[in-house]
Amino acid sequence: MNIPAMTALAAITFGATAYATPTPRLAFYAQQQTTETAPNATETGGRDVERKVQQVGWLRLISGDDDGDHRDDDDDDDDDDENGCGNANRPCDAAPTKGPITPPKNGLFTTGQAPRVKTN
Amino acid sequence: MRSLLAALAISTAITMPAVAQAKIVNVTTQLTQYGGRGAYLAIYVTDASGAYAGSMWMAGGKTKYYKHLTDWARLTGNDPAEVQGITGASVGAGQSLELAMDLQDSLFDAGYTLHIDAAVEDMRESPNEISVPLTTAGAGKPVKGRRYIANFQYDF
Repeated sequence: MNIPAMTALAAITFGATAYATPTPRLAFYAQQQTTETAPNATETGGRDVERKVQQVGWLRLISGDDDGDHRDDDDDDDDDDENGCGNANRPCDAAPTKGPITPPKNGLFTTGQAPRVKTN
Repeated sequence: MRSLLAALAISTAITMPAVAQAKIVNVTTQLTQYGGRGAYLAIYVTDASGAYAGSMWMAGGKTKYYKHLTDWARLTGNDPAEVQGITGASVGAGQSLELAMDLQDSLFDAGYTLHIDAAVEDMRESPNEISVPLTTAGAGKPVKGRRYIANFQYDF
C-alpha cells in the first residue's frame, strides 16, 4: 500500500475524530466559556448567591450571638459596678448615695425634696 | 377677733394647697435571684401620650452602661443629666431597692405611667420590664416583672 496515502488516511481519520468528540479538557474549557459568556444565567448566579449566603451565615455563627444580650462595647472586664457588688460572692451593700441629693427639675418631685433611698 | 380669724383662714388657704400637692410615695423593687451581677434599673415616667416625662431614679452609677437600658436611653437620648442627683448603686440579685420620694400629686390619676428598664452585665436587657399606671387605686398592689424584677409596688 502507498505510504503517503496511508498517512493521509490516518490524518483524516484522527482529525475527524478530534473534531467530533472533543477531549475532556476541551470539553471543560468549552463549559467554562459557556459560563463566562452567560454571567446572567440563573443557575450560575444562584450558585454564587448561595455560596455568599452560606459564607455569611457561617461567619455569623462564629462571630458570636446576636440575641441582644447585654454587651459592653468597652473592653474592660475588670470594670464593675461602683461598689463592686452584685455577684454571689459579693452581695451589694446598702450603699447610700454620695453627698447631698438634689433631684432634677423635671416636674416630678416636689421642689427641694430629695429622694431617700435604702437598698437591702 | 374676726380679723384674726380671717387672717388665719387666709394663711391656711395659702399653705394647705402647697402641702396637698405633694405626696410621699414609697417605691419598692424586689429582684429575683437571677444569678448575675448588680442590675442597673432606670425608673422613669411617661405621660398619657407616651411621651417621656422625667426620671425618678437610676440604680447604677456608670453612664456607659445606660445605653443598655434601651427604652430609657431612647426616650432621653441617653442623657445622664436626666438622672443627675438621683443616682445610686446598682441592685444585686435577690436584693431590693426601696425609695421614698416626694412626688407631685398631679402625677396620679392623670394618665402617667411608671416604667422600669433593667439590664445586667453579660445577661439579657429587659426594657420596660415594669409598666404600671400611677393611680391612687394602684397603690399597694404588687406587680411582677418578667425577668429580673420579682415584685414591684408603690404605696403612700
